[in-house]
Amino acid sequence: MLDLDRIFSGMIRVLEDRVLPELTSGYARGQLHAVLELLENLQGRTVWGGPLLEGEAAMLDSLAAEAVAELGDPQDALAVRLRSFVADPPSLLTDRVQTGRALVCDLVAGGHADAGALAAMVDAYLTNDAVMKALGLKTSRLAEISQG
Amino acid sequence: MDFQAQLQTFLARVTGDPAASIEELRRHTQGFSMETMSFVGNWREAGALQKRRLVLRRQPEAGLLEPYDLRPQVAAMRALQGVMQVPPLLWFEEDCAVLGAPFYVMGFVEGDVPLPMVAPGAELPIPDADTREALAGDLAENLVALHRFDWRGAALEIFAAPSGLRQAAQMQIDVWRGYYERSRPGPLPMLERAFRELDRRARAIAEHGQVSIVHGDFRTGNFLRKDAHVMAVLDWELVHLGDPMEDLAWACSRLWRGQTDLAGLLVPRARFLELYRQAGGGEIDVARVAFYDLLGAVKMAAIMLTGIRAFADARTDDVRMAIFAHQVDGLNMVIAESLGLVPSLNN
Repeated sequence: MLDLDRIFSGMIRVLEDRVLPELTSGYARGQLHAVLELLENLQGRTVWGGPLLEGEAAMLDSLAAEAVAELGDPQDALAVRLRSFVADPPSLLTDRVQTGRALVCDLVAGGHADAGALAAMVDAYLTNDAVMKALGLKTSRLAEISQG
Repeated sequence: MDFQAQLQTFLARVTGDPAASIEELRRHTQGFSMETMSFVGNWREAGALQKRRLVLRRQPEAGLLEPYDLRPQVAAMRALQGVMQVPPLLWFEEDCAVLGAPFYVMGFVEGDVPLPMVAPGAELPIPDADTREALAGDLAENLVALHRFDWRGAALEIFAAPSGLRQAAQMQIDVWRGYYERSRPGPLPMLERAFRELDRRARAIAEHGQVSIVHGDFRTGNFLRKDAHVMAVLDWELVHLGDPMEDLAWACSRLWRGQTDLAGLLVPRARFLELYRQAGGGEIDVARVAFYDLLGAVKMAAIMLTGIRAFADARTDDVRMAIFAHQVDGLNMVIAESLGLVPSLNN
């Protein structure tokens, strides 16, 4: 997840240094200054959150619990980490998601998700998360961004 | 000395005319990678006044394809003059002292660049079906000319040559895994899953087969056209030696189809593959196209992550790089489709 302060500082800099000098309308300049003040005061006061991230965290919780049951050896290092995640997940939402994702990556890299029930569980998480996030995306302005 | 004066000094040097001048210098915002400028150059050559519209492409400080090295694309464009539609390459300057970064200058080519984007319900960039069909045919012919070019006889020692198609596949996995590893902001399960699948599929590719020059970004959005004719294939940053199926898969990728079934918003995917075959490109290997289709989606994610990293590290203030942070979420659907996790929306 891109650091929110960096997003704010990038937006502020481009609006102030690149857009503002091009504006000649007094009304537009006033509105832009108001936007800049809003952005400057949002900076440092926001954190990532919302239903998409919470939805992914819930899916990761379920996957971790199911994976613990599927992994045969309870002493396996990955199984220990999964149990720890299930029993005591990080309190900050972003940390919980990052930790959960790291566990999924290790399940994949370790070959645990190549076949069988665990593969189906991992693929179900990947699919549901991708669909959920794609549905949450707004229509892209990429054509306008490319052409100006 | 300002940029225009520096450019004028360069033009005077390469043309041998101390009185060479430039005018109408413009910076273009299209594209997310190389900096692109156009200008008119005036100089005397053998006593005759030359007045030519030129295009300058300069290596950016940071961006989607860093670390940059302009030499492979320059070598390829030089080798391919007269083989297919390539912009005329005039000068290449590696010395950063000249204009702040390496750059090359090409002759201006007339034409427009159709983009592979269409809003839901909106008209296609090229509305006429006959024009799209003919243009796709010309595009396929250019691609075949590229793939059939005998690179072993050309001065292309800058390229790493794979021993065969399996190694070519593995080399591309390594390239894009490198981009991914250098730029990822944290663990990304979909990409880990995709790389594992790519490794598995690459092992099944037969080593024997034709290794070609691969453009690496051959698609709608990267060529100039006039009516149904390709005037110039552009954007050679990703050129390398590899499997010709890689270009085919990329040209037909879901990434450039919008909500249609049209490869590059031109013709149906199967039709483009057929046009390539008819143009002399040989049989289509469906499994290798599928491999490179997945690799293409992964490559796009790795490119986006590289731009995000450049922005996150404040090496660029181009906020366009920041939008990729949420666009990667959309890209996960394309990867899921290539992995077979979700049904194909259109083929």
